[in-house]
Amino acid sequence: MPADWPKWSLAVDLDRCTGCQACVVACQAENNVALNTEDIVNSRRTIAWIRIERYWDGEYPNIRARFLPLLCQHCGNAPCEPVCPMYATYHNADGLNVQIYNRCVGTRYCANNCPYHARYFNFWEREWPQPLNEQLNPDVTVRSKGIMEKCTLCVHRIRRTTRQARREGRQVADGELQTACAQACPSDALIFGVVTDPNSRVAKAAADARRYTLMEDMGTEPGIFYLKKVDPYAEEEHNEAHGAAAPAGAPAQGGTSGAH
Amino acid sequence: MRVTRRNFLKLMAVSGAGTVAFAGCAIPEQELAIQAPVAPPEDLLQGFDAWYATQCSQCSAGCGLIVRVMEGRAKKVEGNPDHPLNAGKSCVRSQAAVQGVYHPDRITNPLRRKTAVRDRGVADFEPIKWEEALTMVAQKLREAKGQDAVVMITEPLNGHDGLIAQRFAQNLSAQHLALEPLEAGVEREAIRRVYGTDQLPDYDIRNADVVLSFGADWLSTWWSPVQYGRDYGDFRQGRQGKRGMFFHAESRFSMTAANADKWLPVKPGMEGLLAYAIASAIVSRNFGGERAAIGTINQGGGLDDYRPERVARSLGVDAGTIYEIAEKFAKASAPLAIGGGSAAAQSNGLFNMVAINSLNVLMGNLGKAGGVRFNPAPVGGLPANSGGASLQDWVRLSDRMANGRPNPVQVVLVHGANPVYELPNALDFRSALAKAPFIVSFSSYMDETTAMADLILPDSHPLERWGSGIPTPGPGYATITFQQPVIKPQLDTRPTGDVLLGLAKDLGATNNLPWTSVKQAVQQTAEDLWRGGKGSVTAPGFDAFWYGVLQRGGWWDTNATGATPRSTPIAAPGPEEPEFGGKEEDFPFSLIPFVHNSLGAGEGANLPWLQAAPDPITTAMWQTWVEISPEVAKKMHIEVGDFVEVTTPQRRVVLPAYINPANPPETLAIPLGQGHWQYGRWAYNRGVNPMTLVEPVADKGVGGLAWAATRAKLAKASGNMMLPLLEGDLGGYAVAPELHEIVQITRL
Repeated sequence: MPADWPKWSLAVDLDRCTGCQACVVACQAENNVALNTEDIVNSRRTIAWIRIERYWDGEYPNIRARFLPLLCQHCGNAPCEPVCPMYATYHNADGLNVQIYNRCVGTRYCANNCPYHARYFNFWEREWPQPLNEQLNPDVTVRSKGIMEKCTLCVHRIRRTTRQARREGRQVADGELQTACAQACPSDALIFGVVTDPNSRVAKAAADARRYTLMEDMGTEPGIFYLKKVDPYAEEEHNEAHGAAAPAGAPAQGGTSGAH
Repeated sequence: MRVTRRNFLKLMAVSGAGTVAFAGCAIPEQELAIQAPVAPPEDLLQGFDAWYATQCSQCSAGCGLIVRVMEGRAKKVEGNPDHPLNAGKSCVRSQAAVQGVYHPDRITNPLRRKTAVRDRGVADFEPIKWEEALTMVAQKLREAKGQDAVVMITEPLNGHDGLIAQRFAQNLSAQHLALEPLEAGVEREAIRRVYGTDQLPDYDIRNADVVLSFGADWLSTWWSPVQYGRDYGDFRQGRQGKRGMFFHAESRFSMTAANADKWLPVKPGMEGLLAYAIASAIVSRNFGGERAAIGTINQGGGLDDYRPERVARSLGVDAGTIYEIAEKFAKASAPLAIGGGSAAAQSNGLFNMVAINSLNVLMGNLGKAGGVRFNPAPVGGLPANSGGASLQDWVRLSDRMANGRPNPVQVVLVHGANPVYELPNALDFRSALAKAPFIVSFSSYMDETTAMADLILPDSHPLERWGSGIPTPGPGYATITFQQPVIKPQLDTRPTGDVLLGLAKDLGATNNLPWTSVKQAVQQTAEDLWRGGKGSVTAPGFDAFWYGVLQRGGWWDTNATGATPRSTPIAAPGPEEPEFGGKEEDFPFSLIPFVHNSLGAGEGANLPWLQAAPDPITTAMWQTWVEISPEVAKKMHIEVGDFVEVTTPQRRVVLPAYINPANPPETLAIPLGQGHWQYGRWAYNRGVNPMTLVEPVADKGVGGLAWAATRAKLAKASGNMMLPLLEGDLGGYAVAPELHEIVQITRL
């Protein structure tokens, strides 16, 4: 691929995220995600390409809730990619992990391998009671039963904008194109752009001292990165990648299992 | 018929539309006759989208939106990048607006109660044509003679729709009440008294360096969550080398509390005491130096009653913390205090709110960057969400409808409000309304109030009609948002503003209502703005101006700011203790109902995206729950999902429990939003509305409903349910915590 091929990335600034869920619904609206009705939620089959995980830290009254937006990390060394028997998922030149819906036959091995639990399977045929289907985005495939889906970093928006720019003989400007989640986020916690462009906001975020990636030493090389939450009252610094003794009051682990 | 290249082209010509969907090779001819408009709208280009700017109507803030329209369908809502309030950002509720347009349970045409069905508890309607319906309404209005014979209940008045409703009511000598689900009357009165302004002020969070807030869940709901969210992000990380500090005092652990650097679990009703304790600390230890204009609070003395050592125990916050926060606040170059929400919803709400707002006067931040900025009078003299009727007003109306005294109610018109669902049970509004002889609802959905109506004249969706709005609070300068239809009305509905104008004409009640449509009224204001020749859009001719403001979504003038009032000394009154509904010995817990992040006070419950949006703190969806602390849960052997009885002097309900490690031990927190018995398939018959538990305690200063002043008791009930939670959904990250810090934190 050409040396100047753009590599898209998303930065998540944990000090800006408020936990408001705007990104969650914006993504569902943009990407024709199935309606998560109560029975589906109770079956633990919620599909949310981006979700806000809430971790508890500390004890009452010095208790904190930490919000972590979690989406497909678009790993450079993705555990989901080599295991698909249909080659339905691969890493493209833009730096995205791509899901090809019509190749997927639903072995679910990819979701099994994803350490971030960022892949979602359509266990049922989904319905949108008429006329709710009028709202569906024609740019995005509606997935049927048996298909795996996940965050695409709004690849349909990337394609539309880059094609338009190419027609006009120019580059895509930083900020011209946003993923649905980044566009909605009121506090600008989600920053999307070309990380290989040193002048872009996301590249500047990548240079921030607070930068880290999730479960770095698993070797997945995530394309998404996070900026550490700042807490002037934290008892200890919670920023050791590995090898350090567990600090007092470490965040509760176990997905978003929390209260007990 | 076999599709060959030759007849493919022939078929294309016949359809004229250009896009043909092929199911397979053998296609019956009739399937290819595409319904293509003979003269497609100018902006309809298949495969391409058109974006229209309009106004968001999902909460009272009034952000600007742009809506993506493809082939006549509203596909996606985004924030309007130009709009001063939200600058392109949106929230969970605005994103769900399109589901409101295409809702399967939307009322499709005017409806009339079937004559045989007299019981208002039964929602059985038959279709009626607009002309017949309007004739009926006009007749009823003509017959309703006398002052206040007609009652109009609406949302808080705003923009041209508000103006038309207001004047319509005046022309008919009707009583008008605006329903503000969690009324902000106390907050507004405190602002009037402390700052001397009627307009809600602009809190300049983005330029503050220490924010101290009390009660208001300003990041999640409250006045203007998108604007404040934007500000918050930059407050934290938008300034090179500077990060704002944020302290929040609230009687429950809200989403706002979760984002604070320090949360103070202040006891309910003690927020004002805490504010004065902080003022006392600032003054006694001279933290503010010359800056703290101690003359502005109680003429420099008399804060002794509020010394932190004296009041800490009753506050639930220790004295050391109070001194620490007081020092940080007073030594900040741009300190800012914000209050509202549950702090105002107490019997001493006005006392609390005056105390909190006085901190801004003490620190002299009025009119300064990072402080309290003021908004000018609304553009065009339009109503600007000046709030709702007080609890006492609703009590009186309920009484009048039930008893017919002093003068009977004959016609009730309802728009943008659902009082049967929203008002506390204690008012018995439902049985009172049932006695009204004739009820007309303009709702687009069959909500609880609409289900009791005699006639339903469904309004078009805000995305389908003209209007305007004054964002409240404003961004610190004159702003008006224009609302234009982004799609044609999908159903047989009519904009209520147009309906009212038509009725006014029929009844000869057109005083101050010279327009034939809302659009015309909006254009008249636009014309005045064009003639003014300033602000964000100027143009040589009106047509260009009109298209200009529609494209930008509104008009604003950054030079038209609000005047900063002169700070006047405010006497700190003697401590005013809160009073609660229910005696502590019988009802040991404080009940804190809270506005739900996506469902609000219940208006969002009909939209599935909002039902499925997890509550930020508990991650719960689709149900009502009661949050209890781990120590209470342990003592009473309660686990997540176990049914518990929550009893207040009003009512007893059974709810699933959620164990919230951040819950103060003596509180029970219950989200608003559910408990509908109408309102469509996704809202109907789930959960409980905690407003039905609330005692009608009123604030002593203004008479507002003190919805956070009810006490409750708790008992374990039998059985349990699966509470729909996102947490625990996925297998945990089964790795040792010391190896993989998921949320990394730095003290910087």
